[in-house]
Order: sequence, then C-alpha cells, then structure tokens
Amino acid sequence: MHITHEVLIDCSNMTGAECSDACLAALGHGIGFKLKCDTATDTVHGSVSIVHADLPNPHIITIECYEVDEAPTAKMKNGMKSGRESTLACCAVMPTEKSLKDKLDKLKKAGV
Amino acid sequence: MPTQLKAGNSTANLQFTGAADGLLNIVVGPEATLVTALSFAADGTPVLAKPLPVASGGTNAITAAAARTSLGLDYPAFGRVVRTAGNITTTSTTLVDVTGATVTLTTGAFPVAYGVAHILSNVTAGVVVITNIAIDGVLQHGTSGLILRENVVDSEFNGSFSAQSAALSAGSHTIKEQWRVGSSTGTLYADANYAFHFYAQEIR
Repeated sequence: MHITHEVLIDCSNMTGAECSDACLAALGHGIGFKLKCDTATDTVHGSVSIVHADLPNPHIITIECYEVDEAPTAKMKNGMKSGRESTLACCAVMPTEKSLKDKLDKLKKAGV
Repeated sequence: MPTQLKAGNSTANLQFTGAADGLLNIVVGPEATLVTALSFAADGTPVLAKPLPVASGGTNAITAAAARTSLGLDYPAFGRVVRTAGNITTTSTTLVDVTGATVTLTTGAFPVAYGVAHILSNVTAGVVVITNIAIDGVLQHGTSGLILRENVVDSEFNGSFSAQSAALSAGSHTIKEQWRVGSSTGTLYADANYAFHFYAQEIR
C-alpha cells in the first residue's frame, strides 16, 4: 500500500530525522507496525519518506506498507555472504489509508 | 499551376512517366498554401519530403527545425531538476524514488548521461545510504547501488555521482533516482543551503 499525504508541519526547530521520528510516532510505529529499522536485520512492515518543506508549504509524506512477506536479501562481500538485510513483512492488521492520514493530520501546524 | 487530382471516392492509379530527373510531388493542404508531403522520382524512388517550390505554387519554405529533423540532426534532449524546497528523509530499506528526482526525455537511439549532486547523511553511525538510477525501471548501478557509509553520527557527506547509460531505443524514457538506507533514517539535503541537482541529457 502506497499513500502520499500533505500536512502543514513546522519542523524548523529540529532536524529532518527528528521530524520523521515524530511522524513515525504519530503513525503508531512500534513492534507490531514497524516503519523504521533500528538495526540492519530488523523485520519491518513499511517505510516513511518525507519532504520537509518549510511553511507555508506542506510536508509531503509517503507511507509504504508491505502487503507481502519478503525474505531478507543476503549481503555479499568479496563474493561471500556476510549477513542479511532487513526482512519485509506484512503487518498483522493492515491500517486503512484514512486512519493513517487522520493520524498525520494531528501533526498539522501545531508543530511536532 | 500543376495538374491537381482532388480526393474522391474512387480508386485509380496515378502514373508518372516523367524524365529521370523529374519529380512527382504529392501535395496536401488547402489550395492557397500547398506544401509537399512526399515526392517520387520518375523511377519510383521516394525523395525526402521537401517544400514545394514557389514556381509550382508552394512556399519553398522549410523551418530550421524541420530541416534538422529530416537530416537526423535534432538537438539532444535534456532535463534537469533542482530541489530546494526542503530536505528529504527516508526510513526505507528497499529502493524508493527520491521525491521529484525524475526526468523524462524523448530521445533517439542514443545513450543518456546523468548525474546527481547532493549531500547525504544517516542519523546512525556505521549505517549506509544507498543510491541508484532507474531508467525505465531498470537499475543502472546493480541490484543494490552506490553505497555510502555514515562514519560520524548525522554528519553530511557528498553523495554525488554521474554515469552514462547504454544506447536507448528511440522514444520516451523515464530516468529517476532512487535511494534507501541500511537502517535508521537517511537524509538527502535539498534546501536553500544545500541545493539538490539531478540531470539527464541525451548524447548525440
């Protein structure tokens, strides 16, 4: 599932990564709905990409939720397997597009 | 005024038996402004379309653009994206489009040169940011891409690169940059302080 949503957010007092973390928290990022890998081998259910435009322009937030499980990609080094990358998985309860947009709208204008 | 055969509902052959250096001009358009669509020599050889001479009722005019096209000398196609609206972050560990970094070109059967100039970072030290270029959905820099590893927490590094594709087919092509992280959050700087450039140009 791919969702793109525009939200007026003031993140002038923080880094883009901090603003991204605030958006993740608003979306319910956690063990059962993981949108960011903390380590390279985590199991993740989607991702969030954001264009952090300054006001009066909106932030453009793209959310991807994986709909099928995908085995991790093997990492190769010097022709040998040296580990694996993240596992992509479909979350147990897929959120609706509306619910995700409503959660992001709560970040509107007031700042994160 | 040359002989005119106006369109009708019947089918007939129009035979041309002129001298070897003569031409049969097939003209279309309103009578007041005849232009040549196609010409045939007396032996049936098609001749590159050209304007009808004034003596035959035409304008004898051809634009420079039409002349270049007829000789295969069109200017190379090119496109550029510059983004300063705001930095871009991603948490994706699979390649996703860099927002706005898409150029669509209509090319001949020629390669394209492309490049990006941007600053990258990752919040977490030791974690990679990977970039790649997709032309019509085909990754140009391997199944993974070009790897840059963050050495210092959230420290900016220059992730610029350029390359050249193989010869493409004649037609419309979409060239876009994609990126991902190994983990954590990656930042692509694209604001007034660190303008992000992406370009593609046909090589003729």
